[in-house]
Amino acid sequence: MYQFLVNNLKISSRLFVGFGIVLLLVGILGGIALQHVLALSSLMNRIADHPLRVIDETQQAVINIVTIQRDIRDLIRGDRLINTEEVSRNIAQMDQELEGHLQVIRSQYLGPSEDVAEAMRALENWRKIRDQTLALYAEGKLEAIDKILPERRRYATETQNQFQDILDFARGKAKSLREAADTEKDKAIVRLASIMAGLIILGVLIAWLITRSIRAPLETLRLRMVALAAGDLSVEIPYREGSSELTAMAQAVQVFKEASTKLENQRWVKSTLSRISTTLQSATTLLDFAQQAIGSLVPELGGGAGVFYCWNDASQSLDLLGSYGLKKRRHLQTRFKPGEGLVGQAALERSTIILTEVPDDYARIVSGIGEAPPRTVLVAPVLSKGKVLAVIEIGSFLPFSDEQQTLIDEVLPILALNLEIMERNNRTLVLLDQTQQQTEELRASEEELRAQSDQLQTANEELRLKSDALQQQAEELRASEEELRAQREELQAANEELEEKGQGLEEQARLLEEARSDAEKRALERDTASRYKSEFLANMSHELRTPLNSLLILARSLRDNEEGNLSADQVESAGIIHESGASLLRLINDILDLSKVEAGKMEIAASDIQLDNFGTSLLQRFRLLAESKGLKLTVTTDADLPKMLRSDAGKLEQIVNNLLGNAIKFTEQGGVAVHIKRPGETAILAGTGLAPENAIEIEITDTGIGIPTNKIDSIFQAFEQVDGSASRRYGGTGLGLTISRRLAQFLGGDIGVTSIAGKGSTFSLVLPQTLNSAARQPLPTVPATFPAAETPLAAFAAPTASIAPSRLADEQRVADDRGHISPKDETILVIEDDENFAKIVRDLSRKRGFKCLVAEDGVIGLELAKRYRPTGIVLDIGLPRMDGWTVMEKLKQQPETRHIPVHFMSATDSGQRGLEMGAVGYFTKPVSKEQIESAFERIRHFSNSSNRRILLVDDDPGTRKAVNTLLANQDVEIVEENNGEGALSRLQSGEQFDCMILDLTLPGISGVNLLEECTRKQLVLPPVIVYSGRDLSEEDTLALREYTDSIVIKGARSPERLLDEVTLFLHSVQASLPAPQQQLLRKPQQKEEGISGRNVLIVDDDMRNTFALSKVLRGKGLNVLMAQDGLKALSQLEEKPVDLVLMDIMMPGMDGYTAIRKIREQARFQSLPIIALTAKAMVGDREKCLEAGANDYLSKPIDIDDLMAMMHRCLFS
Amino acid sequence: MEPAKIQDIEIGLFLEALFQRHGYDFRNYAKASLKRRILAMTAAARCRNVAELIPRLLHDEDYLAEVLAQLSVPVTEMFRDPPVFKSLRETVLPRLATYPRFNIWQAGCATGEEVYSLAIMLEEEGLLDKAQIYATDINDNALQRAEDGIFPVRCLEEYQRNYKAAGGKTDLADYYVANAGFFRIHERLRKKIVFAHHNLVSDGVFCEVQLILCRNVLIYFDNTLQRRVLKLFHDSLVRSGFLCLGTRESLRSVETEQLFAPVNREAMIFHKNGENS
Repeated sequence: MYQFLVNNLKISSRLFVGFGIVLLLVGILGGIALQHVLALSSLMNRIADHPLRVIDETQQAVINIVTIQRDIRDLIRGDRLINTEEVSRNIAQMDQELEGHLQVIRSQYLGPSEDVAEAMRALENWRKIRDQTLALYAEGKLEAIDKILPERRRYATETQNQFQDILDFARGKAKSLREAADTEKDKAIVRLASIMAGLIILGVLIAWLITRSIRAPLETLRLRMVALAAGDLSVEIPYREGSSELTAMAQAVQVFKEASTKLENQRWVKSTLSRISTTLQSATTLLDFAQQAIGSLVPELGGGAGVFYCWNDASQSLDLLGSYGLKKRRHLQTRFKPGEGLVGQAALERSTIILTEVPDDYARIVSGIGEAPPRTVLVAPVLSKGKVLAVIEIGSFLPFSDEQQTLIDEVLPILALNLEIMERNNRTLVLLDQTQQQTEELRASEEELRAQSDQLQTANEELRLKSDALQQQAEELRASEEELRAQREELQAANEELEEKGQGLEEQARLLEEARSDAEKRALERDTASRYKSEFLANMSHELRTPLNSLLILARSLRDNEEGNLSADQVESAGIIHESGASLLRLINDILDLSKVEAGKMEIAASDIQLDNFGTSLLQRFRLLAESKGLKLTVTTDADLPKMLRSDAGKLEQIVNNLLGNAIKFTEQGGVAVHIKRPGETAILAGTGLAPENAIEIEITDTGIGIPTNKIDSIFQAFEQVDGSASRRYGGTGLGLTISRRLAQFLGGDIGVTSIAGKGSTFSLVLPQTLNSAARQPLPTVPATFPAAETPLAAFAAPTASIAPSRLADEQRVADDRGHISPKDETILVIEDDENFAKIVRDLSRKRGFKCLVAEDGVIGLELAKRYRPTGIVLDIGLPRMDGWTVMEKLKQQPETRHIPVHFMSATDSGQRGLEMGAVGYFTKPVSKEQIESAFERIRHFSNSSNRRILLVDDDPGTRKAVNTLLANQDVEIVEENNGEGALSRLQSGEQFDCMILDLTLPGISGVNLLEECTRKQLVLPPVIVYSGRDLSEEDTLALREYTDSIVIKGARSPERLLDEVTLFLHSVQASLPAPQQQLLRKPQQKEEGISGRNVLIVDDDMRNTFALSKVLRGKGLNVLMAQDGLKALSQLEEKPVDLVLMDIMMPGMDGYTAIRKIREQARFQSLPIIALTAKAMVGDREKCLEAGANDYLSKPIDIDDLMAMMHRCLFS
Repeated sequence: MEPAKIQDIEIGLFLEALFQRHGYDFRNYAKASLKRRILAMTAAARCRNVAELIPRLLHDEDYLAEVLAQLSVPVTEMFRDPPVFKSLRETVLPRLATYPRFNIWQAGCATGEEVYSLAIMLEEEGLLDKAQIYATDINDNALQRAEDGIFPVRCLEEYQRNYKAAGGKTDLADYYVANAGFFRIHERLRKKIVFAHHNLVSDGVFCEVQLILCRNVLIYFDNTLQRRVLKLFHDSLVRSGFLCLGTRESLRSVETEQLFAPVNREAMIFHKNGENS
């Protein structure tokens, strides 16, 4: 009951009840108390109301009466100044109050009411009197007042006595009432005390009950709640039934507990999930994953066993991948297809399947201790986006709690996610692997490529270097190849010859061989000796001439006595010195001539000699001499002789002079007869191999001392005179005849002599009429003319070196002006190793106003030329370290020195070469003072670049004016001539010009004639520009080509061209030729033995080539004809005898092949040697030439040595 | 080995065979265009590989002419690049007039149209008598056709235009005779020209000339060959002689630039520079 109450009564109700009871009790008590209090109070009131009030009122009434009385009295007396109204007012007021009081008394008086009535009557009576009084007063009837006064007093006192009675009565009543109150009070106290005690006890009891009913359950609940709050979710919450607040609280706590439990479950789920997740994330492989998954899931779920099947895309089945607590059984399925078994079914349905109440014979959960089938089996598919990734199956003894199910539900997506991620990762890994592999491969191949590229580059570099080197080598090879080819050809030819001759001539060959080898040896010795000899001589010539030069000049100048400070004796001595020197010079010249002749180094300059002129001049020359000796001299020329003899005029003169001179010399009396005739059949003629009709004989008969027979042979020996003493008597060196004979032989003839001692002698000179047949080799002379002949080699070994010792370059032995040269000085640079000659030239130059620089060898000379840029250079050829030719070459190559005029002065005789190299002049030593001075003049002229001189030869004044205008800016002096003769005379007088502009049509001799004349007179022509108004024919052009390649036809653009050409010529002394032609000229011209005198026809339309080639060939002694195409060639062949044809292939009109064929068609030209010259160099071209009929073929550019060799072969095979 | 490499080997062998067997050295011709033409030849001969041409080249005498015809490129027309001819007419020809006689050489004349154009210009300027023209090529077929001087009429209209643009004073018709779809250059012009076989690769200077025309030949040569040919031209020319190249060519190397100085860059007319070393 109590419990029921407790549980169902709300606390408030309970409290309500409790307090209510208490209140009730208190109320009861209070009521009782109140009752007593009321009783008391009523008594009191009674007291208060009745007696007390009556007393009070009565007193008041009395006071009022008194007051009134007083007021009246006052009024009557008139003590105070109060007016009647006021007193009335007061009295009225008092009355009222009295009335009031009476009222109260009446109501409250507990005594008899008669008292009051009496009082009232009394009062009434009084009032009446009083009012009367007042009225009387008002009327002023004071006496009346006084009369009534006693009445009034009585009545007042009566009233007061009445009131007093009332009063006493009231007091008495009050007292009795008070006593009643006290009694009442005692009674109350007792009663109240007892009730209060009872009530207190009751109250406490009730309080206790109620408190307990509230407190105890609360405490219990509190404890449970504390436990709950502390975390113990398992506490039972009591008092949940009922309707009291406690119940509500307990229920609420219960709710909280449940919520907390749920939260706790969720937390558990979540933390388990995260744990599982973490575990799963650490899995790297699928297998690992499965294992981890199932391994962590099953214990969390409280299961005993579990398996993880993973979906295999390849086999479209679920494969067992992980397991937990599974005992291997035979029947354990490792693979399920969708739909197969529960696993497959779960996969198919995509939903979790939970089996409860698993039968006993299901798979068992096995532990070490025992085994049992699971109670619950859960099969859950792991889905992702509707696709089944895996299925897990877990078996447990216990059913799965909610939270576990929640866990399962939550875990599945995570598994799915992880699986997916894993799969993706795996894929990525695979791809990464692949990529890495590929990168590796790429890197490898990159390395390879780089290596290859390096290799290639290196190879490239090498190849480039090699290619450069090869190119160079190829060049060289080509050059040497050509040489070898030529040599090979020669050898081949020679071989063939030998082979042919060898057949059947072996024995003879052997003998011949022996003899030949002997002869060869001797010839070799001789040749060597001769060679050394000539070298020696060449040097000796230089060495001899050099001092002699100085000697002669100085002696001469001494003899001339310019300063007039010498005595007559001294002058005579000087004269003698000069004479001796001159004799010595003559001797040396003779010796050198002889040696030259012997060495075959003589140059032949063929020209036509008019025989009658010749005879006449001979007579003229020797008549005086003969007459002085008293001899008769006659010169006769046969009539049947041809007019002209073609030979070397100079040498012929020398020979004849010598013979005639000898004749006169050795004849004391009588006369000398010179007879020019056709030779008879004599031994001499036979010796020359000439036919009488082709030869001329000059017979010199004298009546002199004659020559003994035994001495005839020896007179031609060098140095031998018939009588050694003859020289002393007759003068002469004894070399003359030898030289003469050699010369004669050189010219193709010979000298013979017949003599009778004492009677006279006849010398006969036989020469070919035309100098074109092969000159005979001079007869070998016994080299006994020179001492120490047995050891020619030793004596002449390295002559150059022994004769020209090198001097110290810094030891300048000839002082010069290099220390004090100012820019405006004219300077001459003398490059000369002969001290004396250098001094001479230096002094002469100084006399002429030049400053002088002296260099003793070519190297120093070049250096000084570069440094000082002299006005002109005097250049020797024989110089140490660098010879004059090289110096010249270098001077012309360098732009700084190219323009400096160079004048050769040398002992060697190579004027032509010097001029061709661009020298302004060439003198052969010994040179005279005049020659040196003219050299200076020439230098002065040529160096004066601001004073170039052009010779303009044109009869048209208009043209002359135009040319002047054209060249006005060129800083040149233009010398005009309007006819050829004027020009010729200027040139002849030695006037120097840098250039000649020549018109062809002139009034007198034509331009062409002028050029021809100049050539004939051997005048040095300046570069010629032909400036012609008329067109030229081919023949004219060809003819002019001989002299110049610069022909300008007047026309619209000709001034430009003229200017170009003039400028070119003004700035180079020799217009340069292209390389191949230069090369042709560079080789020193040597007379070719064996072919000189032959006629060669050059057929080529290339003018440049033709002229260059012809110059070279002429230099070698050949006669050259030219034709510009095949037709012209044929016509030339008709007219003139030709020994060899050089035929170009590519020509207009008729090409070379056709021309050759046409030539061969003619019988007489079948064996005419034809060499084809062609620019074509392809394989097959040679064959074509040969097929056409050529003997051989040369490709352009032509190598002159090859050509000569080939020509030799063609002419002599 | 890749087919491209093998093909290069074949081409090299072909050129080698051509040189060794017949002496024509194409080995220094510009590779790209040469290869193209050889491949075209291979296709035309219905062979699969270039190497199949080699036996024919070695043993068949007549094949050479065909090879040359195919390898040398005879593309030409009369007054080709009229501004160039105009420039020649106005700048060079008057200069040539100052020579008593002069020679002109057209190297690589193909079928001769340009050489005849030159002759026509010379006649119009009154210089034909003083001139001697040499026209050379390696292609004998082309040379023969050039010598004949016969060309198809269908080209006439264009030639006429070119002629006018090059400063022609009268009418092209003055210089030829037309018949049956062809026209032939007048005898008087033809006889002034010497047509000859000359191989720039191997042959040398054959004449001294005042003017050389070599148009669109050098572009087929590589640098080495170009240098050689330009040197050859330099040697063949007289002092201040003229050289006229094709408008699309240039003097490639520094050495060759030293040999020639430009007279008219657009028309590619040069004249011989200074003197040689």
